[in-house]
Amino acid sequence: MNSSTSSSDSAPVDRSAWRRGVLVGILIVLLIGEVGARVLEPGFGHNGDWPSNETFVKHEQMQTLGPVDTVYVGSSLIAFGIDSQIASNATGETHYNAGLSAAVLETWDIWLREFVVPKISPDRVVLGLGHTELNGFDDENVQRFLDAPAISQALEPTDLRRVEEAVQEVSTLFEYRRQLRDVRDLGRAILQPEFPDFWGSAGERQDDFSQVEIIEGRRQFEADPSEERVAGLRNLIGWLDSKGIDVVLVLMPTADGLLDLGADELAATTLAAIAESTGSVFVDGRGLASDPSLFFDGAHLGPTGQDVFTEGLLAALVDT
Amino acid sequence: MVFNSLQYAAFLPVVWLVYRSLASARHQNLWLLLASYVFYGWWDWRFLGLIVLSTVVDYALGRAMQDRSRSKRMRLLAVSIAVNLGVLAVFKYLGFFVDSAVDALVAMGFEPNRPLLRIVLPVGISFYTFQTLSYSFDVARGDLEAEHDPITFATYVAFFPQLVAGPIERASRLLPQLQSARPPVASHAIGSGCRLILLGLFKKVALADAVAPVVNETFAQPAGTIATAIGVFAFSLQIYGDFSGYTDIARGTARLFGIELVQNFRQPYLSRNITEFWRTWHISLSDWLHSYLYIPLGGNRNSPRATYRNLMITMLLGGLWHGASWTFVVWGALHGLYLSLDRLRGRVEPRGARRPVRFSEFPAVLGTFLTVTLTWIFFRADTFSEAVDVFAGLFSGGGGWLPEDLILVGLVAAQLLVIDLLGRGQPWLCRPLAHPVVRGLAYGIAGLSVVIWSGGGGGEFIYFQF
Repeated sequence: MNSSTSSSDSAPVDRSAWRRGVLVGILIVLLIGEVGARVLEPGFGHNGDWPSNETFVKHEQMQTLGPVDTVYVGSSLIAFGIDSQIASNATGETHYNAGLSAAVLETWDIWLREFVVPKISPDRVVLGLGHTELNGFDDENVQRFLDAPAISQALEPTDLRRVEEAVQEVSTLFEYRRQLRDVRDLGRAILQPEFPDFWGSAGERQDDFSQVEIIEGRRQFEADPSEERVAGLRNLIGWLDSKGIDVVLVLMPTADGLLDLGADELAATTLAAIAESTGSVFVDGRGLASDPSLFFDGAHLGPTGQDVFTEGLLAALVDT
Repeated sequence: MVFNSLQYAAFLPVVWLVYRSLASARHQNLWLLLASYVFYGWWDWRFLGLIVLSTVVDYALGRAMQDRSRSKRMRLLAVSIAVNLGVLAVFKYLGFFVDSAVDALVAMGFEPNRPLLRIVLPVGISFYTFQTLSYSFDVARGDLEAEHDPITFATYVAFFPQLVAGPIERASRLLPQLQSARPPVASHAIGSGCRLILLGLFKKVALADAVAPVVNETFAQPAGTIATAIGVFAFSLQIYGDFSGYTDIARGTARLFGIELVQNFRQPYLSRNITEFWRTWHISLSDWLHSYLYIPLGGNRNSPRATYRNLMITMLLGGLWHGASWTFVVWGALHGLYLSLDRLRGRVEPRGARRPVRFSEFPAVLGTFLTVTLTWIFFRADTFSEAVDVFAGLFSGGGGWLPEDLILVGLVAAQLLVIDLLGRGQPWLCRPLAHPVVRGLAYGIAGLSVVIWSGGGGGEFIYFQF
C-alpha cells in the first residue's frame, strides 16, 4: 500500500498481469466481506439506520398492519407495560403497542404524526405518561431521533440517501456497515447468531423481560410539569382530535417505594386538567398495578405486571 | 472542505480533470489558485481575506527585498514578521494573552474586569502563516529569488492540498515546481497518488476516527487505571492516524497535479529516542523551527548551556504554535526537556535514511512511545485540571474498562504498526506485498474499511484547529 514498498513501480513486470492480480485480491476481500456480512446478518437486528431496533421493528410491522382500533404510545413505560396482544384478544379489536423505549414526549409527537397515524390510522390513541414525563424538555432526544438516517430520509428524502438505500438492497455488507464498525454489535452478532425477537406482532414486548437492564440517566422522582411539555401535549391532542382520533391520557403506575409520598399527585391533576380542557379521557393508572412485585425495577412493569395492568386498563377503557 | 467528505470527493475529480486540459504554467496555477480559494472559502469565505492579506504583503515585501542591501532586506523581513505574527497574535493568541494577564492580576490581588473576546480562529492559520514567513526569511537571507509572478506566489501560499494542515512547504521546494508547466501526470504517478489518498483515508476514517469515542470518553471522565490507560493510548494512535492520514491525502492529491510535497512523517512511533521522534514527527514543522528559530538563536554553535536554552525556547514556542493554551506550553517544555536529556546522554544520531527496526531495539522504541504517549495528555487536555484528572485516573487503580474498547484500540494499534513497519521496509512484511493478489487484498481491506467507517461521526482533522 505504501508507495515506498511497491515493487510494481520499478520492477519489470507484466502490467496487465499485475493489475489482474490486484483486482483478484480486491474481489476476494469484497466477496469475503459480503459473505461474512450475510452470515452474521440474522444477529444484527436492524441495519443501524434507525434510532433503535424497536423503532425499526415497529415501523416494519406498521407497514403491513393496516388500520387499527387502538394504538398505545409512550416511552418504555408503555413499551413494557401494555400487552396489546391480550388487549386484541380480549376485545376482538386490533390493538397495537407503538411505545418507544427511551423516547420523550417531543419524540412521540413526531413518531405519532409522521409514522403511526399515517400508517395504521388508529381510531383511538392511548398516551401513557409516567409521573415525571411532563417534566422538562429534551430536544436532544428529538434530535437523535431525527438524525437517524432512516428517519431523516422518511421526513426529508434526498437523492444521495436513495442511492445509499439502493446499494443497501444489493449489498448486505454495505447495509450493515454501522454494526460492523461497532465492536459490541459485531461481537454480539458473532456470539449470538440470532437477534432476540423481543416484539410480538402487535408490538407487545413478548420475551421474559423481568431482568432487563434499564439504562437511565439521572432519575427525577418528583412531578414538575413544564410549560413546554404541557403545551406540546395539548397541541398533540388537538392535532389528533382534528384527525377524528379519540385520545386517552393514562398516568402510568410506579411502585410506591420509588415515589415521595404524593409526589405524583401533581402529574395526575395536570393530566386530568388537560383531558378536561381538550375533551379527551383521563385514566389514573396508578391503582391498576399497585403491588411493588409487579415492577422489575420500580418503574417498569414486569411480565406479570404487564398482564395485570393491561387487563385493568381495558376495563377502565370500557367504562369510559 | 475536508478531505473525508463527499464534497471533496466531487471537488477533486473536477479540479483534476480541468487541470489536465491546461498546458501552460500560468493557466495551471490560475486554476489551482481558484480551486484553492473555493476549497478554503468552503468553511467561511471571510477567512479568505487573511490569506489574501498575507499573500499580498509577502509578495510585495519579497519583491521589495530583491536587489536591496542586507540591512534593508532585514528591515523588510521585520515588517513581514510583524504582519504575519500580528495576524496570528490577534486571531489565535489575543484571548490567551488577555486571559493570562487577567489571571496574573487576580493572583496579585487585583480585581480586573475580564473582557469577553469572541474571535473566530481561521482554519489552518498557523500553517499558511509559517509557510509565507519561510518565503520572506529565505528571500531576506538571499537563499531564494523573489517570485515575480503574483499568481504563482498566491498558488504557493494557498495550494489547497496542504493549505490547512501542512506539510509546511519551504518556498525553495514548492515554488520551483509551480514556476514551470507540469507535464501530464504519468499513470504510475496517478496510481501512487491514489494509493496515498487511500492510505490517508484509511488512517483517518478507519483508524483515527474509530478510537475517537474512546478518547473523548476518557478525557471527559477518566475512570480507573486500565480504562484511562486505554483512552490515553488511544489518543496516541488517534493523533498519529489523523495527522499522518491528512498528510498522506495531501501528498497523494498534490502528486495527482504533478507536485511533490515533503514527507511529514516517517514512522515516528518506531523511534528509539525523542530526538529521533522529532526527526520523524511533523517533519516540516521541525525543519521550520530548526531553520528559522533554533539556528538563528545560535543552535548548538555556542556553549552547551546555550544549546539547551535554545532547545527549550524552540520547543516552548513550538508548543505554543499548536495552540493558545498553557497545556501546549507544558507539552512543548517537556519535549524540550527530553531533547536536552537526549543531548546530554549523547543520543544525537546523524540525520539519515531510515532502517528497519531491530528486535533488540524494541525496548527503546517502547520507552520512547510511552514517554510520547504520556506527554500527549497535556496536548489533548483542554485545561490543566483536565490533564491532572487524566493523570489521577491513570494512578487511581481499578478497572472500569470495557473489553470492546481494548479490542478496538488493540486492532487499530496493530494496523498502524503494520503500516509503519511496511513504511520502514521491514522485509518479512514487505516481501508478501510484492505479490499483486496480496497487494489487492490490502487495497480491498483499506477501501472497504473506509466505506464502512465513513459517516461514523469522526469529523474534522485534529490539526485543523492549529
